[in-house]
Amino acid sequence: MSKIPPGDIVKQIDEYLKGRLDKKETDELWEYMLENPEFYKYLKIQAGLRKKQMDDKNDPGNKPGKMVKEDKKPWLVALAAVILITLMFNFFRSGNDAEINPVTDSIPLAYLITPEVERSSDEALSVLESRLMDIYFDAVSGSAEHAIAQYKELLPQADDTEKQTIYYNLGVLNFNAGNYTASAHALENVGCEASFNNVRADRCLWIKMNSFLAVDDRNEATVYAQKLAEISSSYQEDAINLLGQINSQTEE
Amino acid sequence: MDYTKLVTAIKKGSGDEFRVLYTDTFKILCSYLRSTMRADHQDAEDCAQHAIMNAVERIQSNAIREPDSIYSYMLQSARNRYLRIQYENKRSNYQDNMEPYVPIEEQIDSLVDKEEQKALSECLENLSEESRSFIDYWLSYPDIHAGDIAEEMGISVNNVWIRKHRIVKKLAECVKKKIGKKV
Repeated sequence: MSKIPPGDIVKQIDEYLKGRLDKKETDELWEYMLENPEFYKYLKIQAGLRKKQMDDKNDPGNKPGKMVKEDKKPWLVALAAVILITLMFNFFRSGNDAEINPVTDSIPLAYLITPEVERSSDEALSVLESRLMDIYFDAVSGSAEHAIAQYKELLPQADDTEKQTIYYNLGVLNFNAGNYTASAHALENVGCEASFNNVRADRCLWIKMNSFLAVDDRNEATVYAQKLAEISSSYQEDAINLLGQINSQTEE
Repeated sequence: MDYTKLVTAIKKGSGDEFRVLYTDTFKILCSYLRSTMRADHQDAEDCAQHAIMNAVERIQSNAIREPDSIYSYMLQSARNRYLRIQYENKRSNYQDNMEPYVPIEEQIDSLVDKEEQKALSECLENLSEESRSFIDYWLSYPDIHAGDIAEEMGISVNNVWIRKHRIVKKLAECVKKKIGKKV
């Protein structure tokens, strides 16, 4: 339970916006917001007032830092490159058809994507976003089949961005339901890097890699594994292992 | 919002109450990550969702040992998830949990929405003369303490905070009305 006395919230927000709270106190304030969402609007208004103060004073403040990506791990990239070259060399040689399984049996439901509630602030959700939200709740509360049917029904009304979310979620749900062909088919419509960024894009590539492996489409799985092998992420190891596995089978 | 309400809503699953709680919690967690740690939009959404789903799973399996700490748990879970993503991806927009949060000016920038700010300026114009002079005084001295304002205005410190609370509330209602949505 939050340690801020209820009557002190405006005062505490004021202290926060003046930069007088330490990390622990800042967290306590945000916990209070979670516990009492009605006060979040006070935070936003007081932040607006503080911003006005700073602008009025013509205080340039600190500019937000740009995200700087560091170099990828050189040895992993080199390893991926070696595997890639060997793979390309062997790719069209007819290889051994021993089965290569997906690296996971089940994709966590936390990987599903919800409508963009946060971007639109508190703005009311559109009818379609609202339905997407309902379907999401169906999916996470165990009604995957119902959710799949609902997503399909919604597709014709969805715009391009919403379609990407729907196809992605259909890919995840169908994979978990063991409908691998349907999963791969849905994911064919998803442009991971064009539609998502950072961790979500990496995860999308990883899901596609698994889905295509499940239907034994190694060519497609290799495409996504190659992309993942070049990115420093938690999926890189899976991808490199898989490329190694495919490579060793092709060599046999 | 109390814990019982949250647990009931989560255990019921897809009810309207759960949806409202989910939306509020999601939005606040995203805002926290974006303002204090410079999380980008999708990373913030991803971590918020992860934190909520973790809490939901724990509540559903009765694995929460200290029910009162559920919000703290969600906040920490979202933050740790974000730090892990940063570490795994070697991104440097926020380094590690030993650092303080990003400068407050940046946090304020992240919290402020252009449309809401425009509406806020208009709402400030609509305040009564008394409220307007109170808030103008406050705005003119960014780092002033409530005690100084109390002395200047000849009122108690408590009264300063009560007055500010009322004005903030009035402004929030006005902004909501102007942009047709909650602030």
